[in-house]
This record gives sequence, C-alpha cells and structure tokens, in this order.
Amino acid sequence: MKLEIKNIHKSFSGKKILHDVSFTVTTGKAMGFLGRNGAGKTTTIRALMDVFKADEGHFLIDGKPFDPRKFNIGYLPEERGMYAKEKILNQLVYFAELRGIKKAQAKASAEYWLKRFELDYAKNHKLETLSKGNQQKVQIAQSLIGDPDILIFDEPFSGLDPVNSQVLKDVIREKIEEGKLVIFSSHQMTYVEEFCDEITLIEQGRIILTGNLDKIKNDIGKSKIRLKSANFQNGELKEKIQHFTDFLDISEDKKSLIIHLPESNNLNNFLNQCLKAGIEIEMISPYRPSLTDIFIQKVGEEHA
Amino acid sequence: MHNISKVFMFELKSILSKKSLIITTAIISVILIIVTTIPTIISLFDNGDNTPVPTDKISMMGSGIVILNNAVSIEELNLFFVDVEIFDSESDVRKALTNEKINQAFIITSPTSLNTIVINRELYSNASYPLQNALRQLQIRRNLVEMNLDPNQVNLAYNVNISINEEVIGKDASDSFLIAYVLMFAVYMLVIMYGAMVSTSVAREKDNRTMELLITSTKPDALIIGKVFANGLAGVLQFGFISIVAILGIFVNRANYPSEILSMVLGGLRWDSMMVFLIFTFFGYLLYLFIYASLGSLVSKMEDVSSSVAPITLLFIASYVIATLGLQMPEIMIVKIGSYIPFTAILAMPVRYFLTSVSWIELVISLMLMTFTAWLFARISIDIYRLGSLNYGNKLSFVKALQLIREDKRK
Repeated sequence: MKLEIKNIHKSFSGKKILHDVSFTVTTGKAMGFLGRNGAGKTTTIRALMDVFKADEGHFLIDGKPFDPRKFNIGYLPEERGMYAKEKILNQLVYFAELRGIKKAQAKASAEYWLKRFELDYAKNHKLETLSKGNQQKVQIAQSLIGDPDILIFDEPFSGLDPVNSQVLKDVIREKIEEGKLVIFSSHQMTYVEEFCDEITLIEQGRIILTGNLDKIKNDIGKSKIRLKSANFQNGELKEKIQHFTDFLDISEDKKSLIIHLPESNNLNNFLNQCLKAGIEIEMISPYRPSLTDIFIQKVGEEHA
Repeated sequence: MHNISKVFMFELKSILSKKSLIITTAIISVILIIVTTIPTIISLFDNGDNTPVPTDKISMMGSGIVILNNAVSIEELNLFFVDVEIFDSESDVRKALTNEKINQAFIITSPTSLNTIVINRELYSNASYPLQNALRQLQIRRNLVEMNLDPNQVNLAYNVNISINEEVIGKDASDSFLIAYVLMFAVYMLVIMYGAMVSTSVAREKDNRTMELLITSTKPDALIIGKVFANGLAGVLQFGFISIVAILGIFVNRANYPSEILSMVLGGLRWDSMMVFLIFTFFGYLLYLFIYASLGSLVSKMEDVSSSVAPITLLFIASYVIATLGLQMPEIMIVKIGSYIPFTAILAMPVRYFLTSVSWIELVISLMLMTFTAWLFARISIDIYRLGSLNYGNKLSFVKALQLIREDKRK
C-alpha cells in the first residue's frame, strides 16, 4: 500500500494552517511525521482522517481517493479520550465495532491487547479507576484492535513513562515488520530516530524535509567530520583551525567540533594541516547528524 | 444504518445501567404505589363506628364561641352546627386561643354582630362566614315571626330548583381536564430531563475528548441519531414504567376510589385523543432532543452546557405556559397559534384536541410542520456535531455555527 498526501491546503477562519503539504508513506516503512508544537501535524492527520475536509489537495491510496472509513485504521488521536465511566472491555469492543470489526473478533483482539499491556485484570473495571499511564495504554490498545492495516498515531509517546514507551516501541516495530502502513507524529526526536525509515518535517504548515532518514543523514553529513584533540580544548582547537584558510564552517556540540570540509580540501590535506599546527588528534570520524541536529538545522534554515 | 444500531444499543445500555436512573425510577414508583393505595389504606382504618356528621350541619371543632347579652341561644346554634364549644367569657376564650386549644374564637355581641379572633390569618381565610350566615338566618327567622309570617312557608317559597339538561355535541373539557394535565406535565418532564441528558452526553464526549475517536470511526449521522434515539427511548421506558405502576396502582385499588375521581381519570381516555397525543409527543420529543444535542455540540466543557441549552429550555417553558392556558381556555388565539408552531405544538395541540374539537386538516398541517422542523433540526444537529468536534475552547453560538456550516458546504 502507498498512501500519498498531495498538495494539502487548509485554513481556519481565514488563517492558513497548511500550505501545500505533500509526502508519501508506504507499507512496511515507518513514517515519522515531525514538527514543533503547532506546526500542523495534527491538522494534517485530522484532514487525513476526514475529521474535516482539506480546502485543496488529495489523499490517495494506491492511486485512488482515500476514504478512511473504508479501511481498517487504528487511530490514536492527540486528544486522547474514552468513556471514563464505562467498562474498559465494553468500550474497546464498541469502538472496534464502529470501525466495522465483528463483535467476536473485536472482543478476542481487545482481550489480547489488554493482556499484552498487562491490563487484563482491569477489563471489567471502569476506565476512570485506572492510573493515567494505564489509561494511556488502554487508548493504545484501542488503536490496535482488529489488526488494522494502517496505523496512525498522533504523539503516541506523550504521557508514557520509559517502560511503557518501550512497550509501545516494541509494538510499533512489530507492526512495521508485519508490513503495516505506520505513520506517527511526534516532537520527541529520539523515539522517532530509533525506528523510523522515513521522516517528514513540517514547520509552520509547510513541509521542509521529507524522505529516507539514512539518506537524509548521509546527505547532511556529507563532507563533514567530527574532530577532538587530546591537547586542545574545543575552543582552542577551533581558534587553530580557523587559521586554515579553506575551512569555512566549524561548529561544535558536546562531543566534538564538527567541521565542513569544502570539496577543494580533502581529508588528507586537512590532517596534514592539523599535524603541522601541533594538534594531537584524539578522535576523527565522519559526521552523522542526529535527528535533533537535522531538525534544528532545517527549522533554522526555514526561519533564516 | 448498521452503526446507528451499534451506537443506539451502546448508549441505551449505558443509560439504563446508570444507578441514578434506576434509583430515581424506583423511588418515584414506590411513591406512586403509596399514593394510589391511599384510598385502600383509609378504608382499612375505617371501622364504621364513626358517627357521621349530619350533612346539613357544619362542625365547629377547634372553634370557641362566647355569647354575650344572650344574643342567641345554644339551641339556636345547634340548628346549624355540631361540636359547638361555648366559653363563659372573652378572657377564657382568649386564654384557650393562646394555649392553642382552639384555632379561632367568635364572640357574638348581639344577634347581628360578632367579633372574630384568630392566631394567624391565612391569605384566603373566611373563618367567620358559617357563623355569619347562621346569625343572618336566625335574624331573618325572627323578623319573619315579628311580621306574622311562617318562616317554614317562606322557606318553602324560596326553595325553587331549576333543572338544567346540557347536551355536549363536541367534547366535554371537564371529562378530559385531569388526563390532559397529567399527560402534558409528563411530556414536559420527559423533554426537560432527557433533553438535558442528550446535551450533557454530547458535551461530555467533547469534554473527555472521546468525540475525535468516534467521529473518525463512523459517520456523525450514526452517532447523533443513535444517541438521540437511545436517550429518547430511555426516557420513554422510564416514563412508561412509571405510568404502568400508576395505572396498576389505580386498577388494583379502584374499588376504594370515589366514582367521581375514577371518571375524572378515565373519562378523557379515548383512542383518538391518545393517538394524537402519542404522535405529537413522538415528533415534538425528537425535535427537542435534536435541538438539545446540537446545543450540546457547541460547548467543550460540561459547565457550559446549562448556559448553552438555556434558550431552548426557556422556549419549552413558554410552550408549557401556553398549554397550561389551553387547559383553561383551549379556544383562545395564542393556544390556536401555538398548536401550529412546531416548538409549542408538542403540548398545545394534544391539549386542544383533548379539550375541544380540532379538525383533521389542522392536525395534518401542524404535524407536517413539526415533522419537517424535526427533520431540519436533525440535519442541523448532525452538521453542528461534526463542526463541534473541531472546536475545542470557546463556546460557539448557534448562529455562528450555522454560518461556519454554510461556509464549509460551499467548499
């Protein structure tokens, strides 16, 4: 399956929220939809889920118009909510039935996921009797009932403790391996980086980057190296390197200096210059940016 | 359609399993059983030993009388009253009043004058009237004797009864008044209670953020129709159960009911009146439930529900006032107009039909207007419900919501 989000525009009360949003998600590859708070992630997902209509643009599945109610979709909205005073199993079955899943299958599936999340003891309890974290797990179970072909999680990790985050990560990995189409939005980069094959960055309603995460990292890290000296602190090292005329772009993070080598100056030439300058090299390696680095860089470029 | 039944069943089970509903129904039913059994309870304690009070004499129990200047004799008072308690002096009777041994005191100062003393005077109290009347009769009798006329013959001459034979071609309002009032009040309670329940139920789904999950799982039509019909049926079941308890209570105890009360209860029960009542109640109830549902969609917080539904509640109270006027004066213009306006016809038309003659053309026109309005508000409430799922935060006004829907449909 291939889901295409094509040229989506959306305004509310005259204010444009989404500007020509386009990206593609394919089966078996997790898509991380990233952006800051208010960037337009939830609006895009709500338009995709037909909570409201987009002003312009199309959602296509395998080239045909996408109607979310015709597919078995597991959806975890950002605005979490279920019936506080209803028994957990009853409402899980009810939500699944509304999605077109047969009652018996819905019940069996609900019981499976409750057991998997160690909540089977509470299936006949009212939702309000559970802790916030456990209520969150019930919400996630809701989205997984009936083995959906498409999974859409809006900020799935918010509110989860590290243990439950790990449980969810395992489930998402499992679903990706099963060949499901998985989209999830987040502003927590570390979670996304762990298992996303594809990423899409959105900022102020505009897509600023989309594609394969490895390729993006390679492209952004191309011609950049990390350098750490045994006899100079980063500040002193930066001072020394700045005198090498051709090295134009130097930045640093907690680990080391990050140096952009122009094509005119190869690595060997750079190393020779370092040795001549009396720099004792403790570490040198190709630079692979983290998702956070990519995000900060791209958002910075967008605002420049 | 499939999902309407799913939503309907889920909501219905949820409402019917509420402890508050079960307890309220049980309490009302017990009260009704007790109330309808009162005549039987009274008959159990009535051992037949009580000496009946003569029907032409009035009991003066709780009253004290002082006769000054031999204005009248005790024998004369006994012609009109029983249980007469005579005190020797005004001070004695005041003392008895102060000690609350009696409620009121009468001091007869002359054959044609009396003073009345009471502890507290009630708004419509006319305690001295029977004694005043008795003194007047005694004085007339004395006057007649002085004129050498026989008081008994004069009395006979005055005793003329005119017999009236009234034929009612249409409906007798006195037959149907009680049943019309009871049914009108039941519908009033039904709409107020279950209207509030629907709007609260919708607002709660926004408040606890369940709405987004629902609206992405099925169409808003299914959600709102299922919810309205489930709440509607729950109301009918609760009121139906209570009505059955009341009817059974009356039926079981009917032997101990005075015949005039039975005829007041059963006199107005005709199948055509009941059909008109049920049809107008059905569509009017639906109309109000859909309006309440749409108003519930306009708010995001539970605490805003009451202010959101206040206008429609006021409109319904106005409808109740018009129908109450109709019970007294079913032919007045405001009641006639009210029986055509869909928001007021729910109560006004059945009341008119119970009490007067209403042509079938009038019924059909009123019903068509009501069903069309119910359908229109069902559509509007579905659109508002869908629109409402996007609006978390400030309360939307009904007019603003309609504008947004129109803009959305233009796209």
